[in-house]
Amino acid sequence: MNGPEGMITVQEAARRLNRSIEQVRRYLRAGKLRGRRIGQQWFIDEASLRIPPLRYQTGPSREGKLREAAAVMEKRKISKAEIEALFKRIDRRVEALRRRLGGDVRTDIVEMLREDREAH
Amino acid sequence: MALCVDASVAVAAHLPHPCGPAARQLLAEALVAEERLVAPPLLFAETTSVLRRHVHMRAIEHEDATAALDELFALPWSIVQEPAVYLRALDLARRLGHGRAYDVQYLAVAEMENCPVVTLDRGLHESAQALGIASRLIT
Repeated sequence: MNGPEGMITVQEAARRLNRSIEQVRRYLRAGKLRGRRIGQQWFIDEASLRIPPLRYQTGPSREGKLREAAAVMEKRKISKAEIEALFKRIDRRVEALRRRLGGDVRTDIVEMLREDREAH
Repeated sequence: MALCVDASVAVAAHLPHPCGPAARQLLAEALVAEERLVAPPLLFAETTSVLRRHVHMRAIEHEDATAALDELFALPWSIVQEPAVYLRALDLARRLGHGRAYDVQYLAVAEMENCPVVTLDRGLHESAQALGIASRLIT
């Protein structure tokens, strides 16, 4: 079965990487290769074979300080308590800023982004 | 499952903005539901620039922008940085007839992650719809 342009079968990816089909499937599950399921079959994004994907995640370190971006392949787990604490912190800071400013900022964020993109 | 977040939502979530509460609620709900917050690397560049512009126009102080950016980084973003994002963005820009390929990077990530994109930008929302990519517009 031929895949969409730029996509190859799992079997072909395994051949090119000199890995087993099951290993390629593990790479897919781990996000090390990009793929898409079409019907009953998975296809691999050919570009993801050429250069190893780089993903990094941000988030609090165990010390609660800003963690520097680090290349990680696995999905980072964050607890519900951590999420709630993070958003409570954001809410508190934003509310304090709102009080100081006497209300919301009167800026058009979308227009600012558009201007930035056009300026490049 | 994941949620692709654009810079307009990221900025609104971290400033006193009319769309801020909805943006924060959406991000929090996604994380509680164990959805990943995904974005292209452009997210951080654009958010930094827009925060700086707020400081430059004296809408907020420099320390406010720093605190907002610190908290943005405290969230567990999954930044998708790989050649396929840019190759896909290039193709999507062509399909949309766009002369630039910035906002389409969010669409490329959403498509690759098979997840919706969330934005304050009606134009991006409409582009997503035109491409058959799920999109949520915060107004």
